[in-house]
Amino acid sequence: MLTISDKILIISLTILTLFSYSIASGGRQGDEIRIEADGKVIGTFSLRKDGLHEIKGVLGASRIEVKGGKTSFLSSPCKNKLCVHQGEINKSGQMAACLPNRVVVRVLGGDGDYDALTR
Amino acid sequence: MRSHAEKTSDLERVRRNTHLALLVALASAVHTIEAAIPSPIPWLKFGFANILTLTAISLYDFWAGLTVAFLRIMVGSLIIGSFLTPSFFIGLSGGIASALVMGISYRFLGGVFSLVGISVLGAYASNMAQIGTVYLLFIRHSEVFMLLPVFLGFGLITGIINGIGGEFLVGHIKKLPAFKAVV
Repeated sequence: MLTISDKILIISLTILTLFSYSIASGGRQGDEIRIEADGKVIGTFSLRKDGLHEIKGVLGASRIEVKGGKTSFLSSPCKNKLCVHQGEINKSGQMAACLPNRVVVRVLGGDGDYDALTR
Repeated sequence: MRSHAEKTSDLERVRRNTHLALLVALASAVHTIEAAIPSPIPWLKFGFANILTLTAISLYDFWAGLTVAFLRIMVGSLIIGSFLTPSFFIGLSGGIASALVMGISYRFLGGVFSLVGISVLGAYASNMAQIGTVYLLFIRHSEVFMLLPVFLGFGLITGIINGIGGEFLVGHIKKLPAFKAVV
C-alpha cells in the first residue's frame, strides 16, 4: 500500500519532527531574571553578573543566587523546599517559584527565537 | 425534450451531491463520537473524520474534500455544542488547512504518494494551522510553538492511521455498484 515516496516522506517528516523537538526543547540561554514577590515585580537582574538577592516574601526572605549564568533558590522559608530542590535554571522561559512564600523567578531574554518554526 | 447528454450530467451532479451528503453525515458522526474520547491536550485528536475528507478528495476532487471538511466541522460542532468556541476555530483552521493541502497534493502528487502520504501531509498542515490559530487568536506567546514538535509527532501517527483508513474505505467504496459509475 505504501509507495516508496510515502516511505521517504514519512522518514523525512520524522527527522524534521525530531529536529524541531531539539530546537523547541533546547531553549536559549536567558539574558536576565525577573523576580516577583506576592505578584509584584521586584526587579530584573542580569544573569551575567553573579550576585545574591534577598527577596522578602509572605513568609520571610528567600535567597536567590545568580552564578555563572544560572540562577537558583539558595534558601526559602517554606516547608517543603521544592524551590531549592529544583536547582539551577538558565534557559529563557524557565521559571522557579516558591509558592508558599509567593516568590517567583523567571528567566527572560532570547524571546522571539521561534519565528523560524512558523514558516 | 432534453438531450441525453444533459440528463447524464444532471444525473452525475445528483449522484455527486448525494455521495457528498453521505460523506458529510458520516464525517459528522465520526467527529461527534470522537469528541467523547478524552485527550490530554484539548486539540490533540486523531481526526478520524479526515478519512472522509480524504475519501471525498480521492473519489471526486479538491472541492469535494473542502466541502466535506467544512460542513463536517459545522455540523459536528453544532452537535457537540462547541460551535464558535475556541476549539471550534482551532478545529476549523486545521480542517480547512488539511483539506486544502490534501486536495492540492492529491491533484498534483496523487501518482507519487498513496493516500497515506497525502494524509500525513494533511495532518501536518492541520497541526501547524491549529498551533498558528492558537497563537494568533488565543495565546499570544511564542512558547506556544514549544508544543509544535508534540503536535507534529502526533500528526505523523494520526496521518498514517487515517491514510490507511482512507485506503481501505476508498478500496471498498469503489467496489460498491452505486459508486462504480463514477470511479
